[in-house]
Amino acid sequence: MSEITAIQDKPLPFGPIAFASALILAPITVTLLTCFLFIPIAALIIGGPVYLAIGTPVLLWMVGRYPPRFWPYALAGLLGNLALIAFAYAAISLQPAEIRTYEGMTLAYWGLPFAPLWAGTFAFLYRRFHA
Amino acid sequence: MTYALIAYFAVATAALLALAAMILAIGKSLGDCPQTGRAARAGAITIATGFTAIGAGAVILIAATLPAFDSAAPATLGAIGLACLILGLGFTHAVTTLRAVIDSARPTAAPTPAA
Repeated sequence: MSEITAIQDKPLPFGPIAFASALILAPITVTLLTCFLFIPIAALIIGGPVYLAIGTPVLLWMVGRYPPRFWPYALAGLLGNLALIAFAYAAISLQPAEIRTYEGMTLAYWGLPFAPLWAGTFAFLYRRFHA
Repeated sequence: MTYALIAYFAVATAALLALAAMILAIGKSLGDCPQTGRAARAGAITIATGFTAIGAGAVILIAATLPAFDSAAPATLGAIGLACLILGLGFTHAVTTLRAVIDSARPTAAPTPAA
């Protein structure tokens, strides 16, 4: 544990270029490394806009508070996806019963492995892009 | 959809310009300090410029997703909320960066003894 905390305890000063580059390149990197599984390609197409919508504020908040390390950021990504699942469930539950269908929830569940991977890769890339 | 885009851009651009003006105002009020005032003023102009450019990019990128939604009103409100959230978070980073600029411009408190 000491060697992990000895790397850096304080968050880095904000680097907008490193942030934007890492934000865009993180899902692309994961997809390139795992494209032989085929599912990550579909995840990038379907989940990419959702990742930008939820991940951008979450990661903007994270980089000001926590040093960029893989697992804390992966946890943030997981929590972001769980929040999306809760929001989607609540939004569907508010629909009238005759048109209510929970089929769309499947897409939110599919984000569970990819949100932590993308957010953790973002931390990895942000640390390396940071001047 | 045109009205949704007009409403979205009115609110988001107003928020962007207001926050950029606030960065300049903070830099101006910090510019009164005789030691770090020059760095505060120059840093505020630099940071406000970058904030405006990056923020305008975020505002336009969010606007690009608006036509993909069927119902305009909830999509517009969600886009405005997302834009304000991201611009506000970017503003806090801009102010933190401005504070770091002033900290680095501050002269050392006292010469080290036995130097």
